[in-house]
Amino acid sequence: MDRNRRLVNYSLLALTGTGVYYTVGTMFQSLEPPKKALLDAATFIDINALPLNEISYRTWQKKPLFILKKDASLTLDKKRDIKIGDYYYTLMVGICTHLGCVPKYDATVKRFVCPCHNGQFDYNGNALASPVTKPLVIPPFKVHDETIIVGEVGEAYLQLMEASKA
Amino acid sequence: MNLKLKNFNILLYTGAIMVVLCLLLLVSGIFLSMHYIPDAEKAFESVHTTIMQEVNYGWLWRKIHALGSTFFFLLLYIHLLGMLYFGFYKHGKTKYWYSGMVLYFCCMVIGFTGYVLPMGQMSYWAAQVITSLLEYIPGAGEDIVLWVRGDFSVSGITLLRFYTLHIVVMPLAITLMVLTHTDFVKWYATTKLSWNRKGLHVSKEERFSKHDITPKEPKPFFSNAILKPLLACTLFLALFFYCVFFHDELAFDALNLTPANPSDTPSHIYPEWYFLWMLQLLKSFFFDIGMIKGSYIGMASLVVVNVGLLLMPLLDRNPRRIPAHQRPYFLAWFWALVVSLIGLTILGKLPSSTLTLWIGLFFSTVLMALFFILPFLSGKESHAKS
Repeated sequence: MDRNRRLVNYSLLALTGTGVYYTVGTMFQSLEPPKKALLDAATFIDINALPLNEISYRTWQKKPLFILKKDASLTLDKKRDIKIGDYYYTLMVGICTHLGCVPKYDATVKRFVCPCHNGQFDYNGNALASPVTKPLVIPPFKVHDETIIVGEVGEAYLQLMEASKA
Repeated sequence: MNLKLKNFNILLYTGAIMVVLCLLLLVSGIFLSMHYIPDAEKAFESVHTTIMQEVNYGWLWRKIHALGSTFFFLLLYIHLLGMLYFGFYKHGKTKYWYSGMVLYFCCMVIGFTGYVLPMGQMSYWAAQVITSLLEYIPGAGEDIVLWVRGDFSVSGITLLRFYTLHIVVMPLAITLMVLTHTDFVKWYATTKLSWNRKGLHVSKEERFSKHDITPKEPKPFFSNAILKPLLACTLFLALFFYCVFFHDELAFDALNLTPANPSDTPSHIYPEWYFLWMLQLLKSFFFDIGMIKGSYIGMASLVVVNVGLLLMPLLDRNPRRIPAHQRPYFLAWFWALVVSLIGLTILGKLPSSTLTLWIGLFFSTVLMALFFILPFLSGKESHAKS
């Protein structure tokens, strides 16, 4: 091929490539969750509004969230409790670690019972009976005064993760 | 590069640019339809809040789509009038003209249905008024309107069927017609996209000139057949994106920023600029002639002009396909057509007054008369020396 022609062709190719790169980037970015969907990225929980020694229900990122506010009258669990002020709080994503159904709290046996395959968790979210082997997942959270921000990684969360490894 | 003004090079590339625009409209439309909700209650919000503010680059897709449609119609008119000027609807070119006219009607439908989708005031009343036009069809007008709307007046049901027309039916029809219009099958069968110097297929089609054309040296297809249209497209796209980023008011009207309200008609309704001349045709006959209602005449004039355009190959009785500047009568006819179209377009945007009504009547009458006169004019021409 003639030298000038080759130069023109390769510069056109480079130009096209640049254009395609940024165009495809734009397309990909416009398919990311819009602002409305991002509102669910974090859930704010006011700890004073929670009833004591009862399970409360919230949602975080379209997933159910179980919160237990308790004092020393219930079983405490170093690996799963957050102490704020005088009370202890346990946060769990309410999705069974077996196959992803939502367990129901059975107040008579004080357990979470999953209707699908009868997986059982205690009220701290620890796995008790087969088929479940893993405890309910603790979502990332951050404690800010009297608010728990679910969805943001904070100091207390990291400490809890350290404790659960031990 | 032979960029002399007398070569009217823009006319050679309108088609190529329109194909590029079609692709832009297709891609931006796909991304818009991912967030648009075709529902009477939610449509306005999904366009103005979700797409314009919440989706990354949603504003960009919408502006490309809106400006793209405006520019598409501009190029369509240039293309159409240019082909009219050079007589490209006669003798072996008729199939291009007829398929092009089908494309033109499809583009009217897709443009109109798309305009209704955001469900602003203008959108809603455009839909209401345009569907009301069908009432003028003698005999079953009111039943047809009911059937087209799917409801007693324009509503969510109408919106949903317009949406379907806009994103599925018409794009498919237009794609098929574009392939027909560009002789794609023939082109594909005879052109070697070669990297090995097999060369560009030179068509053996007879020209209107009596002299034989000297056979051309075959040239490599790539840079020879691509670079000039590519340059034209590049220049156009530079202008286009300048308008997208800095002059979106070309396509967005503030009157469409209020949500549709079925019980409140805006005092001054007008469509997008490319339909203004048709609106003015409709409005121009403001008096009744004997038993016939004025609005009927307006409707009839709209049909006459569009059918006249469609039947150009039959109306022009000059046997030779030569450009208008070699045909004195036709040249005058052509420029009268252009001037009355532009005049009607300007009048369509202005609020109605006595003066605009009378000027509009004049231009409408001229526009209608042109198509009735043409056979006689062109017949005369073929006897005269030209």
